[in-house]
Amino acid sequence: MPTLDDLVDSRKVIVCVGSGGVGKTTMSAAIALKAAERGRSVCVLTIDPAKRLANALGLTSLGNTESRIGNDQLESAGIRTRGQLWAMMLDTKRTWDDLVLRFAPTPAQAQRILANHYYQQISSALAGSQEFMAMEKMYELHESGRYDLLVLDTPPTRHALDFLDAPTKMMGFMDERVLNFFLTPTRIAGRFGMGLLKGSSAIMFKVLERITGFGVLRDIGDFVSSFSGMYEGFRDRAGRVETFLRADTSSFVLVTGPDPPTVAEAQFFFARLGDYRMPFGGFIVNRVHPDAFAEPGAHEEWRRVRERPTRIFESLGVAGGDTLARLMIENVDRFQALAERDASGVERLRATSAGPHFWRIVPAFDADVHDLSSLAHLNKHLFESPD
Amino acid sequence: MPSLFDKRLLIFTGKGGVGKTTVSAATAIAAARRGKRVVIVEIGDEERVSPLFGRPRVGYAGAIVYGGRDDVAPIRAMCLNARDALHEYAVRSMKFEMLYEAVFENRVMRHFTAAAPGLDELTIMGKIENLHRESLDRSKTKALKFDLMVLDAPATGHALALFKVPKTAMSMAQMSPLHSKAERMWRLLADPFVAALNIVTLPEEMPVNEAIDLHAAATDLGLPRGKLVVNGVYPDLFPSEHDEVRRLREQAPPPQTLPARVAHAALDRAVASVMRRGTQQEMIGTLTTALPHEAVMLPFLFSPTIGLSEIERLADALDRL
Repeated sequence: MPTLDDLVDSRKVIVCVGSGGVGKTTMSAAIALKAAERGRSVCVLTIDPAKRLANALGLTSLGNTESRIGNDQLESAGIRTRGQLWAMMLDTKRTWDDLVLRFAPTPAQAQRILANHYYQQISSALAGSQEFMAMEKMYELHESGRYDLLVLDTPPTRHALDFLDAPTKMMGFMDERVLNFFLTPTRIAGRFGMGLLKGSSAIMFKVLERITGFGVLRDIGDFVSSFSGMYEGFRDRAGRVETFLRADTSSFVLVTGPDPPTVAEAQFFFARLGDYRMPFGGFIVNRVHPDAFAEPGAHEEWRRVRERPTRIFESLGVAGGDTLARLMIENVDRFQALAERDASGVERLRATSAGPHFWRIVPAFDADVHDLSSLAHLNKHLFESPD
Repeated sequence: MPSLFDKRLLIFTGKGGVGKTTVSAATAIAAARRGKRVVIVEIGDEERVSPLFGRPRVGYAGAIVYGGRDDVAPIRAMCLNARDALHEYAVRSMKFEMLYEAVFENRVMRHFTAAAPGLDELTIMGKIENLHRESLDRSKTKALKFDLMVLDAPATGHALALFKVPKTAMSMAQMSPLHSKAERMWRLLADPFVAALNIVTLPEEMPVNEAIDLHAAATDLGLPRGKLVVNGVYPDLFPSEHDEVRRLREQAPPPQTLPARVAHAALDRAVASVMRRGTQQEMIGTLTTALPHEAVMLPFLFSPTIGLSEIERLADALDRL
């Protein structure tokens, strides 16, 4: 069973997936840092990092190009390496534009697409678009051959693995049959009016027209037809992206929290990844509250403390009052309740998600992870190898 | 500021994982306690609201999940999805189910509707507007009536896509039935007497940044401002003992015995509490400086699971929303 250490040394892409707010971006950055430390040339592709983490990675703007974290910066965080750490923040719109420019048969056609109202909507605002472009950018970076490893931080999607569906869905939209469906009637209707439309697509068209109005259909028809001739290129590429993700040079890492709703989502993600036959690396369970009294005999000792709270101060060898001691006990009780909840969450997840994959448990930290040295500290929990 | 419970549409959004569903459910309970008939609407395939109330799946049609007796009004939960909403809408506007099948079950069309950008958002918004309109329609049956819709919206980005779609449709579809429908959707969202966009966040860096960005985007779009709900706020267990806890940490010698290690574990957690509380308060300061909203604080719950009794506790805190 490959550990996360093995994956970082051997894979070409590591995809971090998981529900919103579990710490995917932080984990992606930490994994990339480790890869660089181990001498690889790595680029972490992130979607929406926290500002301070972005600063730590030198990402001050939405450049859509990679920027390097200098080895002098790495050294000041205690990491000496011959590897390279790069980071990039995804700009969905720019990636779309690049894709259109690359695949349009002529510059004029590219310009026509870029100017289309409908295109402008989907390329910037709409759901699914970001997911599609994250995949696209990853593949572009892979093809460039500049990196040994790419670490991909995926967008938060409620629908688990939307980003895996996105290429297929987008392809469906640009399918030639859809194209013909819109193209033929819009041409006829545009020239001669609705009366001349015949056949089943004509019925559909009339129904849609009644709902949306002709203008909308014409715009969509325009949009779809402007992709004419590009479909093959797009589909081909989507196919290659999928093959690349399924290959054993890729690995998916599922990041989750230990609380019940997040565990339920992780179980769902895990099942879906299996359905998609994606190469699964393992689980990172983040923000787990550890049991304060894991040491043998500690629970018995804690019972004695509860009977006489000021025993805390005697054991510590300092002076302190009864009120504070009682507050400290109440505080421990709260943390222990969370520790219990988290332990049962981890256990449930392990029981339902068995398989040959790694498990890493990351404790809840008291402060945000937002710079290179705190990422390096986090790595002590993610990796087995010594620094 | 007038009570939010007098509006008809309360929207909750924010970063993923901040507790939007929990806050929506608690708000619904707080409103039901005031005698408001509530419908709580979530979007997607996985239901989160009904399990919170300890009820079986409610589906697209919805079901009562809470109240309805004594002085608590009923809460009805619905889980909307674009597929069913499109079906419902198409059948309604075409009058014939058969025609729907001819059009929407057609292979090419299915392909298209599954992928057409913006179509999902548009049909969902259409359904929401329709629910709202039916609840005001006197000729409709009592079962469809409610006083308040609580919308457990998707996370920030997808929520904004949802709220942008009426304007997009209006600009694209001029002089058509779609245009007037989109206009009705927009009027519902933008009316400050009817709707309010509430931002849910945790007092942590990333959710706070996203809340600030969300406010800017919502203001640009013209959505009426509701409240800011800060979820998961640590209680101050050691209000006057912060310095004392820190002093202990500095003075206590390294532990050599089991009792000392146990006491140290307790001390570590006291320090953790003080530090977390401090970081959170800093974040709350950033938030309240950056945002003009009235803020409501919800306590961090130390319970192992979030179920109905926890939601009811949060509803107490939302009583003055």
